[in-house]
Order: sequence, then C-alpha cells, then structure tokens
Amino acid sequence: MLTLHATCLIGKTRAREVQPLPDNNVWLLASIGLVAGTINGLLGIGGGTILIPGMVYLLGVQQHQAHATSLLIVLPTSLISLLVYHAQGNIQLKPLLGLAIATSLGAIVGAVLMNHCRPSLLRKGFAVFMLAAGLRMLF
Amino acid sequence: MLVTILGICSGILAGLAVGGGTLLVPGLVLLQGTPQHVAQGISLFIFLPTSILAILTHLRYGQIRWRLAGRLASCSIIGAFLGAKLALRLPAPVLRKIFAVYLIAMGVYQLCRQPAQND
Repeated sequence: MLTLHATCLIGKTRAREVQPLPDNNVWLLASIGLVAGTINGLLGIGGGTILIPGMVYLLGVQQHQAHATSLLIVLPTSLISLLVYHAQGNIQLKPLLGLAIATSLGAIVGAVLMNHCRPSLLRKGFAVFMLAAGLRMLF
Repeated sequence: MLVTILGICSGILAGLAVGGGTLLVPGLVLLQGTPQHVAQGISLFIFLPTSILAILTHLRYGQIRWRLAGRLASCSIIGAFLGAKLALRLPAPVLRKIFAVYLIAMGVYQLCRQPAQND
C-alpha cells in the first residue's frame, strides 16, 4: 500500500507500472464493493466512479479492464437497488421504455466513439457540468 | 422530447465511461422537475439495458476480469440494498443535497486528476 501511495504521490501514476495486488485482498475488495454499492443505492448512479479508480489505483487493474469489469458489477448492483426502489412504489416502469431505448442507442454510439477518441477533454467539460449542477442542486 | 435528448446524451456518456447517471439524475431534477427519488429510480432502471449492451460490446475484447467482478459484485450488492433502504428513508431535499455534494466532489476529482495512461 505504502509503495503504491508513494507511486501516486510522485505524480506519474501509470496503472501498468503499479505492482498488481492479489485479487484476494479481502478487506480492500470488500470496502470498494460496499462503498460503490452504497453509492449506487443511495444516489441512483452507477458506482463506476468509485469502482474504476478503486480498481486502478488500489488493486492495480488496467484502466480498460477496470472499465469493462465495472460494468459487470454495476448491472446486478443496479438491479438490487432498483428492486428496493420499485418495492416502495417510487417508479413506474412502463413510461420509461422509450427513455431506455434512447439511452441504449446513445450507449452504442458512445462505446463506438470510445474506440476512436480519447475522452479526456469531454471528461473535463463534464466535470464543469457536474460542478455547476451540484451547486445548483445545493442551493 | 427533452427527456429523449437527455437519454441519448447520458447513453453516449455512459458508453464513453464518463458517467451516464450523473447526467440523467440532475437533468431530470433540474430541467423536468422530477422528484429526487424518482429520478434516481429512473437512472437505476436505465442502467440495466445500457450496461447489458456495454458488457456485450466488451465481451468481444476480452477485457472483463470475471472473478474480480464476482467478488466485488457480491459486496456491492449488500451495499446497494443498504444504500437504497437509506435513500428511501431520507426526505427528498436531504437526498438532493447529498447528491449535490457527491456531484461537486466528483467534478473536482475529474478536474484535478491525472489522466491514466490509456484513458
């Protein structure tokens, strides 16, 4: 952990150079999973924002693998959260089918785009949006 | 119409791994006046088809680490259950503020972080 942290501090964090910790680091795995799941249920967002950096920086997983793996975790996690929300009668699912189709089409476009461009600039732009929306929701 | 555009945009962001739900929830709350809990439920529902499609895309590249996914998912499911129960106990204005703080934190993190090598 200390070595890993030191590598991060130097500033040239390269996922590939970080010595991968074994997958069976139970407590670390459990913490990342629990935090990501709680964020998913509490805030209704994926949890990839926790899972991907967690896997890359704490477990030494490569960025692309972390992204792909996080999707497989988000799926059952969202399903459980959704079931809890649904049981309380908070959501009607039928009117959402159109939205689901629109988002799915967008997701295909996004996945194709990802293989052709580096979304770094988009990330920065979206970060500004998150700050603005966050402040707007706070006040 | 607005909702459809929001949906397409969040899908594209999700596909790019930038964060679909982080657009959809504030979009619905701020532009459509959707109650916070409902917006979060909608976002969760939208993740199902979106992530299935994304997983299918990734299967071809063989980048998924199955055992790691299984171990993390078994913990995140417990977190999801507890988190969702907690969310439903909180009044909407409180939940909205928590969401806002998380958004701001993520915004700052994304602005400040070093891009990963193959990002």
